[in-house]
Amino acid sequence: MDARAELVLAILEACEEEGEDVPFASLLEDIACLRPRLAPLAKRLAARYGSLPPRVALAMMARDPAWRKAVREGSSAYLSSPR
Amino acid sequence: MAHYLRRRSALAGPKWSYPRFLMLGFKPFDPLWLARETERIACSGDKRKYTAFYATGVYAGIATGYVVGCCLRCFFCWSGFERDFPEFFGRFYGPEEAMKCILAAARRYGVDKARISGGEPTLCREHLLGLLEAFQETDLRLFILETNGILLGADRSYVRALSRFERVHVRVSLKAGTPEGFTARTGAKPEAFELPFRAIEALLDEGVSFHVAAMTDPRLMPREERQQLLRRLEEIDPFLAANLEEEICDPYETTLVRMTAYGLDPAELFLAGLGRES
Repeated sequence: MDARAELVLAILEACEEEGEDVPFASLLEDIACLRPRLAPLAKRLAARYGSLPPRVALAMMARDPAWRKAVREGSSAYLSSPR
Repeated sequence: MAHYLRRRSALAGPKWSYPRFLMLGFKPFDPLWLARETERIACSGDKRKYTAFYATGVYAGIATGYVVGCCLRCFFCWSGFERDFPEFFGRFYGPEEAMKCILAAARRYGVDKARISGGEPTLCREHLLGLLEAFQETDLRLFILETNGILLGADRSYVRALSRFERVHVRVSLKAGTPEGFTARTGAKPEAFELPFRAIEALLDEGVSFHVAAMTDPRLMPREERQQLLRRLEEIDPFLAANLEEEICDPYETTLVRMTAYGLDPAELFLAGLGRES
């Protein structure tokens, strides 16, 4: 899985706890702290969608050509894990 | 008493069958019929009844217009009693006037998102489309349209009309994973279960930004029904299932009353915990 899809997977997992009421930027900051490898990508994503609620941001990423493929891959990985 | 009975007799007609609380032994209704009946009360031309304008911390801060009227009767619903008795609440606002109040609330609280809540926003179509036109003229970043998907599923042209608005994001809230669960929780006839899923397909086809939420609280929805709901979403688009916002039922005052009216003991339900072993 490439870094973008890995970041999407991390976002979906974080959304289980808080997907509505915190700004996406805060959630990305937490992910960047836990996974420094993803920090540069998370920062770029926060610059574009950071003020939105996380699930709204994800929906917009799914329509964004730069993120569409990663959203598909991250979603598949997320759904294949037990919930 | 005689006076009351005379009045009741004078008022007899369709309004007396207007569904209020869901009660045991209820007769399932057509939500499209209830939408029309509610619009007769809560809408007037391009005006709609509102009870308040404020901002709240959900979505990390959002300005909200609180509207009157819904076409479902979910027993777990938290909205005020204006859902059940729309005749008694609110005053009519035109689209521009309502957006002006929403914008004022946004400025007061320093937020850049807007929504209408408390009722079903897709009732009073003319009002909603006018409100979104007015929203486009503001500098607010996003309008979140929270809907049960009934009217959007019934009329593709409504979804097409929404697709014109760049900064509108739709949140479709599902109530059930089976037709039986849908009727038991909303009071609406089982055939209407399909409508929100049709709305989802239409939103996808029309390229509208949206995500799906569902009241999957394990105290209200059995595990197997939740799985069915997830499978159904996954069949439409796996991303929708992955990005599903799962709602939890909270013991708001109105929720407690509605549950009690439906013959449920809220204490038993809310103290039971959230184990998914129902």
